[in-house]
Amino acid sequence: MLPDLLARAAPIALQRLGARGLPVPPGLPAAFMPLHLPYGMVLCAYLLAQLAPERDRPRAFVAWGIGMALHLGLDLLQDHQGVGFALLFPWSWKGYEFPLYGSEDSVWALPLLLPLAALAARSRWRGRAPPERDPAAPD
Amino acid sequence: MSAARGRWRACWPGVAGGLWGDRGRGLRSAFAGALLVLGCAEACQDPRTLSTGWGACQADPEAAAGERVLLTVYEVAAVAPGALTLGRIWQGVPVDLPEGAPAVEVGDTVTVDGRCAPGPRVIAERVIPHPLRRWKEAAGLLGLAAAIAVAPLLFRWRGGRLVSAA
Repeated sequence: MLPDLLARAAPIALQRLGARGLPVPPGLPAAFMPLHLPYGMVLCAYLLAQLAPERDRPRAFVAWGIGMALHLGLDLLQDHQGVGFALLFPWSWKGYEFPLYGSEDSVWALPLLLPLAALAARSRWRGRAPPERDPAAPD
Repeated sequence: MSAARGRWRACWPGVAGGLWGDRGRGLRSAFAGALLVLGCAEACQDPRTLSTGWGACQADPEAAAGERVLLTVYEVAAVAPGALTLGRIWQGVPVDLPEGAPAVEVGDTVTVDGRCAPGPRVIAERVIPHPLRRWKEAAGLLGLAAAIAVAPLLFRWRGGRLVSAA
């Protein structure tokens, strides 16, 4: 979700402002595009990992990176009518895509994915260690 | 080979400390942030936005006549017989519809694949409606709301660091 949040939220807001008559330069929404590409994802994962405690930073970087790579991998399989993603940005603007499904086909998977996500969250929640009890605390 | 591996092992703690340690964390973050800003500044001049498609068609319709214009996931701003006006990155894009184009209404989302024509305007060759776009956006907002609701239960901000709540 993070790549869309970083790269799509602001451009959508800018486009809405443009539709209401505000002079938004056409190139400005494209400024957020690198945040949805490997270049921006690696840098964002690194920056976010810096928020973690020192010993957890490499693991946090890998976790953020895998999550964003998975997002990009699924997006690459969407049909973008030949536009694709500039995976080699900033060295190349060539867009790549491997269109297997339409951009809204994921909506049909929602009835299956929502209960699966709820189940996964439930099992994760149940697997959590109970909070440590302070032995000095009264019963 | 083994000597090179040994040297690498010997210097690894220094490399790891330089990348992940608390020392110089602010400087490293500022450097990574600056690289990110530079990339975003470069993307502002995305040739796919500014020098191809509708950008080029608008700038010089005569020179760009016949060039491909792809308007992906645009909102229909106005409908007239055989024509549409679209808006998203570019506002008020006039489009001539082909024979047998699907019927759309104001507020619908469509992708138009066509050619630049003097005017400037777009002569559509394909019009692809996105009837499920609103559902996709609603699902995205639902996912965002769920993430915002669950994040404080999974993570805590402690001592200036983001730590797991488990």
